[in-house]
Amino acid sequence: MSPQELYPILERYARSQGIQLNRDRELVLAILEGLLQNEKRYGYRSCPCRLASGIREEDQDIICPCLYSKADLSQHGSCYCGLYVTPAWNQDQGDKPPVPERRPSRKGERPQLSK
Amino acid sequence: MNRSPRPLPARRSPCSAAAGLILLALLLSLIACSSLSLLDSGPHARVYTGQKIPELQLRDARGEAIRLPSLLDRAKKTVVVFYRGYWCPYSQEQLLVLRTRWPDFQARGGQIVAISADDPPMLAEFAYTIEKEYRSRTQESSAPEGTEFPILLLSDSSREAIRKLGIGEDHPRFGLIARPTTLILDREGTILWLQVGKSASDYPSADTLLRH
Repeated sequence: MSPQELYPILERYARSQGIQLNRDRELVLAILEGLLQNEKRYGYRSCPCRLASGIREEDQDIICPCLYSKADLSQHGSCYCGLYVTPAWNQDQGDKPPVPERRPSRKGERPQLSK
Repeated sequence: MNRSPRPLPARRSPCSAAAGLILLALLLSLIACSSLSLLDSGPHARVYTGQKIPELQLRDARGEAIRLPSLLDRAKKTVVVFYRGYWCPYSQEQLLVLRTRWPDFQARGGQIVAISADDPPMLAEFAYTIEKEYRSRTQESSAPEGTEFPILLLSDSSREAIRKLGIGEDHPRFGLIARPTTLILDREGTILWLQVGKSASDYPSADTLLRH
């Protein structure tokens, strides 16, 4: 699958969640390229803005859309990567600071998710 | 009507013709060289083959200051890889491939230094993750305990080196990052070969580097 093929699929998913893909199509395609690259390497689409371990159990929280995206969208209007954004975020033309990392840096502090 | 005789064309001496040819050849080779440098260093880069690498102040994973020239004495040739960042899947793959081919570089008396805008604490985690993936791919579980990732990772979190070499690009999430850039330096710091990638996945293969 190519980023261009994945784009409308994720666009439909975003719409169903009441959010949108970033209006910067070039950025979105670059993120999708990273997602597909990670899928090729690990077998799952881990966040291309974070360092994955390659072990599904350890990376559960950063499989896109990541566990932190809901909180980031509600607090900052954008997920960590800038792939998913709120409609208001997309309409605002001003500069926005990058979303701070919410994922705990220590492995032991990361949430354990069921498979 | 009397016509005045046409002036005879001026005769060129064989010496001036040869000088002209030499001049033309020199001009053509100059154009070829300059376009080659532009090709491999990219339109914004301020770094070319044949020049000396400028002084670069970097930091290691512990945050200690490191000058790039001080590392060059350790090997016959040094491959300097500027990668986009720990988060980039292509950087991860590139470092993994270089890690896998590390013995080939070592056998040729080479060393590899990898530089990014990542903060120093991230370097250790990146090295650990790549080493772990390398061992799981190669099933090299017999590696002695404490064996370290053999590629030296350095931080340019101030972006000074990236700016100095003119190899940066703006990333909406991570700010100024390096375009995938690879240089081969001799002990004196002369750039023997270089490539500035045009995209995240545009970096030279290990075989290409080993040929130089």
